Amino acid sequence: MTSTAAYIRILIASAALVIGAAAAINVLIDPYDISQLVRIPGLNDDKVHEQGFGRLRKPFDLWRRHYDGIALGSSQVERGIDTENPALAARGLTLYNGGLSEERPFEQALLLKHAAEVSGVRFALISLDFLRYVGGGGRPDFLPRTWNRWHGLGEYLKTLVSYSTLADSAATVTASWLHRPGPQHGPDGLLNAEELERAGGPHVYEQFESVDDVYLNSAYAPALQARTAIEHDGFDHTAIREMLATAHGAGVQLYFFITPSHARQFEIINILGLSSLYRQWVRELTCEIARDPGREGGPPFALWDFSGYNSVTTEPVPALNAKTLMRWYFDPIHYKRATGRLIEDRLLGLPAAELSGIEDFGTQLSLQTIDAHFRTVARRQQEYLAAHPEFYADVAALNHDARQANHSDPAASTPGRTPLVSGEPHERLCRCERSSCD
Amino acid sequence: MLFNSASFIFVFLPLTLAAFAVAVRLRSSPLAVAVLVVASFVYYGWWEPGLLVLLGASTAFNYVMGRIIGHTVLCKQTALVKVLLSVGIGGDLSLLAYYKYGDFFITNLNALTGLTNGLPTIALPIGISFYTFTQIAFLVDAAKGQITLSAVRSRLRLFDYALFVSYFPHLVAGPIIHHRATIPQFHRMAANGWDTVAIATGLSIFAIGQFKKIGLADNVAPFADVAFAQATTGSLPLLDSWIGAIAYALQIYFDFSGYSDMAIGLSLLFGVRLPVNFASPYKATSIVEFWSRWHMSLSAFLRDYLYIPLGGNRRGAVRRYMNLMLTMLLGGLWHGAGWTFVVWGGLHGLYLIINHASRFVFGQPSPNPTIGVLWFKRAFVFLSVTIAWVFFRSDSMGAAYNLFQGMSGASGFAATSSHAASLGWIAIGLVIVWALPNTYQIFARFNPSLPLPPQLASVPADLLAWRMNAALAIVLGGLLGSCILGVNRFSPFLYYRF
Repeated sequence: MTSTAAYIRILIASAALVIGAAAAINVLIDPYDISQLVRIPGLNDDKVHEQGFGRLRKPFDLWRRHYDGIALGSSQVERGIDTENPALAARGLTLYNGGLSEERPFEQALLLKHAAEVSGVRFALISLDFLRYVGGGGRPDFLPRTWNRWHGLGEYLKTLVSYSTLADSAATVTASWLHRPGPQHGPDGLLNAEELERAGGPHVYEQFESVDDVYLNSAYAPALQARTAIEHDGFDHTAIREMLATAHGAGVQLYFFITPSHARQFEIINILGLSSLYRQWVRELTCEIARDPGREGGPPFALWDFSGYNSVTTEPVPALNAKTLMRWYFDPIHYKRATGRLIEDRLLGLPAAELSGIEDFGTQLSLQTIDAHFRTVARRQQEYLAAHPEFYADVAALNHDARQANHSDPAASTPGRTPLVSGEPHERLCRCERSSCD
Repeated sequence: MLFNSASFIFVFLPLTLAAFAVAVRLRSSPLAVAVLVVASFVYYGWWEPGLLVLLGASTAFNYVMGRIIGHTVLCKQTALVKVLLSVGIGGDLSLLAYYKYGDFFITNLNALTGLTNGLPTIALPIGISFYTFTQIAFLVDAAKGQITLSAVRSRLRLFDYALFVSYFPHLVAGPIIHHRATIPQFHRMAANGWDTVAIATGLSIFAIGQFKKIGLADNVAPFADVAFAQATTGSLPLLDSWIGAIAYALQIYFDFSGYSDMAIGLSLLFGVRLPVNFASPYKATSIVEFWSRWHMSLSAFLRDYLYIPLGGNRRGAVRRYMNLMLTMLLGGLWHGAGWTFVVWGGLHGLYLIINHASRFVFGQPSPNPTIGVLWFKRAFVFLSVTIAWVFFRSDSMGAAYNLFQGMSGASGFAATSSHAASLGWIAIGLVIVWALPNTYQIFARFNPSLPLPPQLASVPADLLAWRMNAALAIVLGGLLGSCILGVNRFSPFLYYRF
């Protein structure tokens, strides 16, 4: 028989031993690349599970290093915005890639604030994605109110004391031992998607087909449900306003840009009858950013649109079974680092050889030019569809319920027929009246 | 903050114990009470600080009403007592009605009348059903003169009462405690130093509770979730349906009894014994016995404060059955504002009526049935209870119908996938609930809780009885540590929503 006090001590010590051992293993193996204590080839150098924990790892990266700028957005940014752009280096600028899979606008605002506070960033490239504004996504269980040190430490400690992290540590050891690399972030937050693409995977056509399928048949379902309410009430721009407030408070120059999804995505929005809502979104963004006076002593904050029909977004998709890789895209929404460099060059005015011949990539928006921009996009769309009739048919064939789509926006159901671009009802509903913006 | 969350285990509990240790060192029960009141309000406010206003107001209202009623009883003003009691209970039920049943009432009224009245969406304050019932019992007892002169005049201090209502181990999901059994324990807390036997027992029971929740309930839950989710959109085959229903019967038992074990274990760390809430309910051989073993503190409340005041069995068989049915219907409604809960309660009311009627017709069952009869009855009761759980768990009556259709075989027999894992977990669960002694039997020699009724208080064989030795400390400590590694996933207790 053990004494009561000894029994209590042994019980607590046993529990602490189990927890401590698990935490120690997780700290050393470091499957999410956060502690960065040791990196031993063959033991923990292939961190195959860190991608999903970018939300935890990236704030830690910003604590560790000073960066001049940060790029914020969802997985497009995470894979495409090139932190190693030579034009940046030539200007002596360092850029951190703060892209996160399905990063929602409020997460962008949080991470921008964090980066301004702890890493001293002076500029931010902020990707705006229509789907994130209407379709949610992200991690519904991950809703940080702030990213201070205590919060970050608490979140990290929680991951250490967890079976799932222990399982990921085991997977890290296995992958490292067998040299089976998975997607990993570089030191500046960029995801190594291009190395993976070179290593082999589904053919590009299959990638396009599967992603388009998801976007056409399920991803925009919340947008279709909320369309009437949004048309009436407008989009929620709280995150944009928070980012503008951070920019003013911390002296950060903001560069907003609409993500350059492949033109097939533009047609999907069209097929689903969401074109009008999309233009309402662009117009509201223009209003929100135009009415901000910009940073004191600096130029006004810019909004660029890289979507629509231009030399990049209309890059031909390789045929079925072709092993050819694309120059600008992995799939219809994820662009490559080359595209990311073009975006950086455009936004920051960097001298770049790659831009020659593709001058039509990207348009800076303002209240004065937006109607003309819409007309240009519509004209290019019409011209392109007329020249490539198979393009629309290829996308439309993926629609599981064509009847429903046709019903939802008859104007958009016929190839080559362009929806209205001006005088639409949404113009009257824009949250920002011209008089108050001009 | 859940008992199985990192913030509770690594921050809240150690800090509360450290503050309590100061009171123990000073041998000060009032300080211990104050520490636990503050801790309990912090615990409750963690979910939503705004809810503290509701809890505080409800506590203050009932405390004042209880004292006034107690004084009025002493002055023998019977008529005034009844008025005051009505005001007190009316206030409590109004709060519950607004927060828990307002939306349900308006929705049904709209459905009946075709109106489109709207109510602002009201979030159900966590634990409101539990702390409201606890306080109604207090007011009723005060009106019965069961709160003594000394309690009214001096001993029933506001902090004692506030702790009685808000005591964090029981606050949000029970057990429903009784002032007579609890407040005197608060007065003794910390006065005699640490009760190390209670702490050793409490830690061990807490470890077992964690295992029931994280090791068992959370592992059978996915099988139930899949089946009930499928049932919302259509019917499913025979085996899938039965696996879903039985998995839920096991999930709710391990989840709720695990929570109750944790509550009792945590309370023992402060030297306070709570009532037992579960005594191997699936070993019951009749529905009457099931309700004497399942959620015992609620059963006792419904019996003492609803069934007996309605007349109980004192006014003939028909009136008794009506009282039973009404009690169970209201018991169902207490669990949730939805028709599926009402039907669940009604079904159990029907079971009880049949059980009592059969005893009336055939006489009391033999106290020593043969093994065969015992297991037949046990399986029959489990089956009946499982069928009732289908209503309890289903999102709608349509979903319940779909699942029953599947359970009847009307939707086919072919399994949609391999069921090796689900059947394995169900087998483990059934062995535990049917073949092993319950927590309170295992720890019976160390008085872990308020006393059980004699018929439920059997002590198991020596082999299964807990004792304080190093080997068991290592096993239970390892179990606790392993369960804590599983806490970093969001898994709320089922009864938090009631």
